[in-house]
Amino acid sequence: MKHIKRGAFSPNPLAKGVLLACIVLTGIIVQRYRQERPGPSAASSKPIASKPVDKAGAEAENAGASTTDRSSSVDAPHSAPRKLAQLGQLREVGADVYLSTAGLRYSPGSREGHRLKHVLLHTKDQPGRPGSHGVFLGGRDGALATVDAAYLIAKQGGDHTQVEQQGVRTVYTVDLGKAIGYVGGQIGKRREHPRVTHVRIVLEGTNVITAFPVSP
Amino acid sequence: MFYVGFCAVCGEGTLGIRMCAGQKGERQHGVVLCDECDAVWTTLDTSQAPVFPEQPDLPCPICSASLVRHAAHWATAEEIDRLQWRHAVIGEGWALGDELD
Repeated sequence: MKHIKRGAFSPNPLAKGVLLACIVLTGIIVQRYRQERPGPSAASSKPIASKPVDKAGAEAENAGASTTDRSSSVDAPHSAPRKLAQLGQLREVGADVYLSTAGLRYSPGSREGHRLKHVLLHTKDQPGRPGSHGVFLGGRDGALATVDAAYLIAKQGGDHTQVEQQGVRTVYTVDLGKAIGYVGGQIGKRREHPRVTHVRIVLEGTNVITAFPVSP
Repeated sequence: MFYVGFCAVCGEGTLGIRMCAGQKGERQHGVVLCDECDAVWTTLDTSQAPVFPEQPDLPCPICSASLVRHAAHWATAEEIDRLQWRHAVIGEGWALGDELD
């Protein structure tokens, strides 16, 4: 531009108009092209695409998937999980260690010998147990799916999740917004087994210690 | 299972008196164990912070012997008398899972 004299085009208004029109047309064409084929900058402003919920746990384990990724798999708190049937599936990741869809680990432990067996004791009532005994609806699959759904909601935080840290343990109490179990045990029997919408999950890291339906 | 209260950690478990298998006879000691979340207290003062024994063997905080394997068991009335913990017992009932066995 330094070599062109400023007055080179000024004497010709027609040339000046043609140049202006070219600039405007070029701008329109470039804008339309970008709209049709979004480049990296346009793509980055879009929300992250949802991932299949059955891969969330594995991806979280291996690649540190964000809660944004997971949130797409579950409806907002206080509503039923959209893909409940896919949650709660287990795959063995070590010697007698199982990883759930949501990324919870079930390992050997407890008087029953395994935390999974321990949690599944909450699929049946124990009317002689002192105090309360939370019982999941839906048997084994229902219990594990509910625990997974509650964990995903708990990780999002919000009004429907209470979190308490007790040393190495994290205790989540999550309102799932619909009946997921009932109160059994001696107290449940006296109260005619009221339905409950909350789940309590006790974790050490992602290792499940216990989980059960609870009346908050 | 004789129990002394309910667990403030998990909000559901029954706090039973558990005999550790590390010692035998009169030297055998007891702890308070939550049947739901495995929180352990070495005294009857469950208002104090519990110990969370390492999974899966739940080593006794006093002697490291397992609280779930071998000869560990829920305390009998005689054992509770020997521990002089009878005054703390508020009832007897099924521990989690025992009713289904």
